[in-house]
Amino acid sequence: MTGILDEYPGAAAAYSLRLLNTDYTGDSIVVRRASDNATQIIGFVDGELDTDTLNTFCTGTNGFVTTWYDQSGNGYDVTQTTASRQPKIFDSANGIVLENGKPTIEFDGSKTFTTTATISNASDYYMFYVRNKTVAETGYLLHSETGQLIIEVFEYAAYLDPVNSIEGTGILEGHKLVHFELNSTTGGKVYENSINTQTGLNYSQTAISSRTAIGGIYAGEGDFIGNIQELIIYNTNQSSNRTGIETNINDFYSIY
Amino acid sequence: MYYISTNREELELYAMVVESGEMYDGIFTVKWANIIEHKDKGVFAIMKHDKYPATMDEVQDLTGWFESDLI
Repeated sequence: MTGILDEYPGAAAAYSLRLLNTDYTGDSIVVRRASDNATQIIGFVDGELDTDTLNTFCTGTNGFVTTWYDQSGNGYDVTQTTASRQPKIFDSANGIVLENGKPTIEFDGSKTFTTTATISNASDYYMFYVRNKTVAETGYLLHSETGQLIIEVFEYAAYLDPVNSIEGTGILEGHKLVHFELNSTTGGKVYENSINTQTGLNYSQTAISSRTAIGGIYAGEGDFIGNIQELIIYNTNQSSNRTGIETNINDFYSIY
Repeated sequence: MYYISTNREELELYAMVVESGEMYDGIFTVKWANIIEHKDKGVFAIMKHDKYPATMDEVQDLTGWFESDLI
């Protein structure tokens, strides 16, 4: 078995509920169960989330993710230490939250993961993520305070500080593999399920740093409504690898 | 659901009641919720915890509370 980061290494940050890199010896998530607020680290079995351990730990109560580990090797784990803002992964009635049969993390409009790490000072980014936005025109799948880069926000594909404005049109709800190519020379492109849907977006960005959030903004508002299964951020040009990366992701998640 | 009040201390007290009752581990989870201030109305809100009912007014969501709603 090989992971996507074995084949396509060099991610600046990588979050998933599957094993992305066979050299990675860490875990996937930390889960807090609501019944007694105990926590359990959940790793992988055969390259997928250890659902047996998750089931045993959370049966009969809700389970919330406090930490989503970065599998890139750079240690940019994202966390949420405020209980009411921790995204859900286990439902007391329905069990593990699933999307197309695979575990997923549920963001209900008031949840985020955050980090204050400088993930990258590069200007260009190639992001791949799997999400199911369940309510149209909600926001923020990813937000970085430096430059105010926002990926998916309300009626826009992405948003930057107005000086460097990238807008485009909102990506529709549904289970999608989305790829943002954010290149300050050639502009921004959006691919949905491997189809180029937007191109030529004005893009000029400086970094992913200061305060960064997944599922909302760091300060805690404007939050994404839907599920997120995977987010991989490269700060090197992946144009030649795009179709290979997308195929790897779709082979696992069966999105399109 | 959120509790709202013009008295921030009332919401801080509510957070303390929840945190005292839940006894978070202080490592992965340190508190119940942030207190949110309306962008211009002098009203505050905190996420309701279903195990800890209070007599404060409730709202379903905080649409219109944030500057970022204007983006």
